[in-house]
Amino acid sequence: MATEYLDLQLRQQLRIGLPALAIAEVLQLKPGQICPVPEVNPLILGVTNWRGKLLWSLNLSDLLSLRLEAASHPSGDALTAVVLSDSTAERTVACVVSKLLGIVEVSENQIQPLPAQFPLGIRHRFRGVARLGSPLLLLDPDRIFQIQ
Amino acid sequence: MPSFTPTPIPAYDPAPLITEDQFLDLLMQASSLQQAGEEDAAIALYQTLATTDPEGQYGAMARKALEAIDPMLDATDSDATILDMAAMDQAAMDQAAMDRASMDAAMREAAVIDAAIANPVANFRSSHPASRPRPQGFRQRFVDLPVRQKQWLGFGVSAAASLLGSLGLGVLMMGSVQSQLDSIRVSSAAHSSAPLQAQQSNSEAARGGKSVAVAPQAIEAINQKLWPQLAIQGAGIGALILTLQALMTLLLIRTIAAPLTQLNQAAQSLAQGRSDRPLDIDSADELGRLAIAFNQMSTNLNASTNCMEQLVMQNEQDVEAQRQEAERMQKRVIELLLEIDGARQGNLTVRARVTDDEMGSVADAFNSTVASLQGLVLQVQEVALQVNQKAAASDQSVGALAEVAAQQAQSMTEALESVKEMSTSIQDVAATAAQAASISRRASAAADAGGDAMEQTVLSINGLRGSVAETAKKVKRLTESSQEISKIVGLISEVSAKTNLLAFNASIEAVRAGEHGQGFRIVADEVRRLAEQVTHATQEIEQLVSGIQLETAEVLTMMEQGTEQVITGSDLVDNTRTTLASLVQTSQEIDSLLQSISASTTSQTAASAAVSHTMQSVAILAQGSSDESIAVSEMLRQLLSVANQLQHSVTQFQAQPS
Repeated sequence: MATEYLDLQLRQQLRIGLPALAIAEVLQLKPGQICPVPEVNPLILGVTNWRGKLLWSLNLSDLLSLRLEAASHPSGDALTAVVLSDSTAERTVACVVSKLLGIVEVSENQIQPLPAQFPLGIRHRFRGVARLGSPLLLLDPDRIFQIQ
Repeated sequence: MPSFTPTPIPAYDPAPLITEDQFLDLLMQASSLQQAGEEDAAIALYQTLATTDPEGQYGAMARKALEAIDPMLDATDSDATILDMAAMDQAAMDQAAMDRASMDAAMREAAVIDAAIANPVANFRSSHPASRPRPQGFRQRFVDLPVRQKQWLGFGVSAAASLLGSLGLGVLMMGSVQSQLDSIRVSSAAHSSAPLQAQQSNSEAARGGKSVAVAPQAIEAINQKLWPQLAIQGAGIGALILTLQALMTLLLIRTIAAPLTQLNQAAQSLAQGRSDRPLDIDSADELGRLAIAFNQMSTNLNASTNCMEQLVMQNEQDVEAQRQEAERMQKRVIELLLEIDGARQGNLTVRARVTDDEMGSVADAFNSTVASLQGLVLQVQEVALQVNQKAAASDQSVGALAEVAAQQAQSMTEALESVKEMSTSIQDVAATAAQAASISRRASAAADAGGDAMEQTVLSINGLRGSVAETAKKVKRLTESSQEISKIVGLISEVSAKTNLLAFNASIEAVRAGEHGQGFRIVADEVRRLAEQVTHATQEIEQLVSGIQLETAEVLTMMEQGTEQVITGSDLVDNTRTTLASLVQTSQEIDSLLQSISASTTSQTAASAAVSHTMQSVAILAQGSSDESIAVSEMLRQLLSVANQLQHSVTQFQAQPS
């Protein structure tokens, strides 16, 4: 049985796959559309208005502790965000990504466990890795909301 | 002796100052007048003399002459007048006759005669009235008549006799004439005065016989009776007249011819010098007066002769005195000549003796002359000595002068050569200046051409600047267009990005739809791919537009630089043009300067020719002065010898006392 994943790219050209069913919408956010909220986790960028609802937004690269790139996007440019819901559809969050690559189908047998040398701090947020030419790290959307 | 030429002294105007010569002259005039018969003028002159010279000898002579005239005047008036005069002044008359030279007697005489002259007629009339009776027979009356009246009387008597004779003859002739006329005449009416008419006719017949009388018959008859009587009377009267005529002729011979003969004899004797006997003609006519005048003339002649004798004697005495004076002068002159004989030998120290006569002044003049001559000779000696010394000194100077003059002539010739060379170099300069002027003119023309080219260049550069400005404008517009394109491309890129997101969302929704969304998912993928292509294309366009913008910016910069360079070039061309204009002006100035140099060299050529000419004449003059100085040297030598001769000659005079 095959599952559609949204293929996207983070910092360090890290290729990440999110299950298409967990995604409510892809959209662009201008910097002014994210309102910072004080005294919250630094991983949280702020809140934004999405279809009349306040929606937490966070940078997925920061969540995965990826280093900042030297030639990052200027702060004035629009950010590409993916509105992600958990399996119970109770929690929704806007995750800022670097780039959308496409929608791919990954069958179960293509999913392999994470290599042993994969960092422990972010290891629990992935279901596995699919070898589609280049490795595609498959995130578990429920674990994204587990923020310490 | 005074001359006898009569001077025009007025005879009747007694001059206040009359000299002796004029007295004598007046006396001679009066005498000549008296001799010419003009007694009144002579008497007036004598009176003038007597009044102006009452005490001199001429006055005395005048009085004598008057005395000689006056008795005759008395005689003409009447014989008794002379007697009365004599009776009145017998004593004075005698004294005058005895002592004529005595002055006192003359004075008294003059007083008497003056009284007589003052009013002679009145005197004679008052003392001897003319109405004194005297026998008046016809002969005496005829004799006393003037000659002219006598002549007229004789002629009258002769004429009357002739008239009467003619009348008688006329009457006789009238008888025959009348008888012939009677036969042809017709008588007219008779008049009361018939005899008168007949007489009138007779007289008319006697005058010419031409009268034509027309008488009536009655008168004719009377006339025939009267004619014979009248003829007889006429013949008698004619004879009487002839007798009277003969008597008158005899009387004329006695009264005119005899005194004339006597007067002729007296004149001849006077001409021969014998004048002692006076004429005695007793007549009051012109002959009588002629005789009186003749007697006066004779008396005056005697008086003049006496006066002349006195003058001759006085003259002889004067001649004797002059002769003695001349002898004395001759003797004094010989003495003077002997005294000054030393001066003739050259001794200038000799002096003549100064006396107080005429020769004394001559001696004084001679002494001063010799003294002046002595001083002059001394001066000449000194001057001759000085001339000798100066001439000897000048000889050397003149020799030096001659040498210097020769050198001068040589120098002049050399200078002449230099002037010729200078003239040649001036001509070279003139030719060079002419060439330079030609070159300068060419340079001026070239600079003119360069100026024109520069003008065209400036025009071209100005056109280029306009083109560059236009191009810059267009490039700016291009930049603006590319910016517009960039905006549009940005918009397209934004649209494509949204389209891409929409395609993703559609794909996600198709996934969510499961199998039913499979076709929709394919379409969404296609849309997503198209959006990605558009995004790529817009990125490429953005890159191209960015390149275009960069390049247009570069072009704009280059255009601005080009414009600045064009402006700089235009300024440079302007400067060049100004420089060329000043070059033209400079070359024109050079041309004019060269022309003036050429003119100056021409005038210098003429001037050097003139200088050369002048130098030639100066060289000739220098040669002449050299010759002249040589001649002067020779002349000085001659002067030296002449001065020596002069010194030698002057030593012959003894100017200083030995």
